[in-house]
This record gives sequence, C-alpha cells and structure tokens, in this order.
Amino acid sequence: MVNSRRKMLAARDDLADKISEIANSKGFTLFGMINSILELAIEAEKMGINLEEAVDNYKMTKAVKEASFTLVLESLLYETAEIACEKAKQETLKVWFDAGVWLASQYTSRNIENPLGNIEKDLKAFSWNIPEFTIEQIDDKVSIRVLSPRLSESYTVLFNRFLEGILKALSFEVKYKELGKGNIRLEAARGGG
Amino acid sequence: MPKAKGKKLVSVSEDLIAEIAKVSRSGGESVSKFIEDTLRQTVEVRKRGYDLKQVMDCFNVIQAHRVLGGVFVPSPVLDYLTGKVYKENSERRQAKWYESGRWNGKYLKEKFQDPIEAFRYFLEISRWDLNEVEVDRSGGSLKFRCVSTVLTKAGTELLAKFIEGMLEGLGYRTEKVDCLKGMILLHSKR
Repeated sequence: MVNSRRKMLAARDDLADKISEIANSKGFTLFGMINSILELAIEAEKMGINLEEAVDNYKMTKAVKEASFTLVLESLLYETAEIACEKAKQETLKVWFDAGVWLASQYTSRNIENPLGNIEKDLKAFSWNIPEFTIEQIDDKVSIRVLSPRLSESYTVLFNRFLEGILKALSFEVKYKELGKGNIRLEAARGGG
Repeated sequence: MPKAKGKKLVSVSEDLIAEIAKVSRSGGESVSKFIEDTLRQTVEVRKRGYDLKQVMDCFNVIQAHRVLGGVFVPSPVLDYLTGKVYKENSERRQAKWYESGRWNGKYLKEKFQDPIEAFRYFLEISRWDLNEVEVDRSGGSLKFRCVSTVLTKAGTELLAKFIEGMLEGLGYRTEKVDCLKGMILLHSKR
C-alpha cells in the first residue's frame, strides 16, 4: 500500500488523457489509477520482465485457448501416452494426427497469409517443454526440427504424428523423416517439390 | 490536471517514486522514462481490450505452471488418452492425479499471497474446457464448483481428484464430493 504523500510529475499529455479515460471508465481517480498501474509495473520489473513480455504471455494464453490446448502435468501426460500407445498404438497415432490436422485447419480457416508461420509462433510458445523447436519454410519446402531430452520415446512418436497432421492439412508431403527419443526431423514439400 | 507544453502534470505517490527510482536505476533509465513507458504500454494493453491486472495475474499463474511441469496438449488428445487409460486402471490413475494436485496445491500455498484465488485462476487458465469455475469461501469452509460441457466422465473424475489433491495441498480437507460428467461440486474445510 502506498502512502498519500504525492509528487507531481510530467507525463505526455495524450497518455495522461488516455489513462484519465480508463480511470473514469473503471471508477478510479486518476491518482489511484496511475499508482496502481505503476505498482504493477514495479512488480513486473522486480520479476525481471517488462509489460510487453507479460502481454505476449497473455496473448499466448488466448492463442492456446483458440487452439483448444489444455495444460496438464508433463509426467502425467507422458505416462498416459505411454500406456495408451501400448494398448492401441495405431488408434493413438490417429488421434494425434487428427489433432494436428484440426489445429492447422483452425489457422487456414482464418484466411491468414502465412498459416505455417503463425502455427510455428504459437506452437513454439506452447511447447516450452521442448527447448529446440524450429519450423523453417522456404518457398514450398518445410523443415521441422524438434529436440528435447525430456520427451519419452512414445511421446516423440506421437508428437511427430501431430506435426505430420499439421503438414498434411497444409498440403505438404513428408519427404524425409528422422525419429529418435526426443528427436524429430521432418523435411516436407508441396507440389512434389 | 495542470498542463505544460505537450505534457501534463500527474500526481504520483512519493513511495512509488522511490520504488521506481530503484528499479529504473538498475535498468539504466530515468524515473520519467519508466513512468512514460509504463503509461504508454498500459494504453496499448487497454487498446487491445486487455486489463493490466489480468495480464500480470495470468503471467504469474503461467509461471507457476512452468515451474510445476505443466505442458500444453490438444484437448481432444488429452480426452482420448485419459479415456483409453482410465477404464482399466481408474484407481491408480486417480491416485496419480490426486498426488500431482497435492503437490501443485503446496506450491501455490507457498508462492501466492492468496493461494485460493490463485487456485481458482490456475484452473481457469489451464483448463479452457471448463465453462465455469467458482470458489466460495466462508470462514474455514470452501465450496468449489466447476462445469464443463465438453469434459468426459473419465476427464471429470480425474480432474476432481486433482482438485481434491490441490485443496489438500492448500490445507483443506475434503468433506463431500459430487462428481457428474462435466460437473464437480466439492465441499472442504480447513
């Protein structure tokens, strides 16, 4: 809680006006509004982040929601995936492949210019458990690289199928595939390239 | 608001100015630049329809998820996996989810000033498949309710165990649980 002793500071008038509008819409005084904003900004700085990073994080959670992803504990997920694979490998692979197709269709249906670029941006943000994850597209060719020592063997195979589903939905055909525990390399091309 | 050329004078608490001086000095910028950047970013955040407090709360909860080993998975995949595995080994699965929940709850209790609010937000952020998450506290009692139109029976039962575990980690003992497909009602006491 801040004390009530105040100092006057100069702020850009357009910003001060906008903040004043926000304060009015929320039923705050300008002093209360500015101080609560600054408190949050100080908190962010102390955590070693700036507001832009926090906003990016917030946008990421919105993208996660739109892409119908859920957060689950890594240990529970890998173990469950392992058991499901043992019980019904083909069926489990199909579910992951379909999820990839569905995800890519979400992006293409929005008529965005570069769906793969957007998928890459979002998936990289979602995949914080994968330290190295790159999708590079040059003209009609795509190269995907996934490297994470944490992924189990089964989970690697399933995640690969998910990526293949994405590529398929974007009309890419896989030309080269390298798979190992925690390691995926896919090369794909469009139009027989 | 007093006005100078292109600038307006705004009042700021002296305590905050002292705090800002500390953090801005470490980042090599002036107090006025820190304030101007903050106000500019706030206006931008607002223009996009976001609320700064929500943005910061969300950041804290996502950070907690990262620390706790949370990963994102497509919801239909999670539904399929839990359904496939749950049928034959439901008790063992429930025990695992409960234990994970307990661990999560203990972390929230240590990390957040208001762990119950963090718990509610934790679920809201991580489980998009929940249409409603409600926590009602009175005295030492807590009533929890969540509703989902898409959650499977297996998914609901596992989530209920996870929540029971979380609440225990937060220092609450479950008194009663009603768990229907897509709905969890839980009463607990400190």
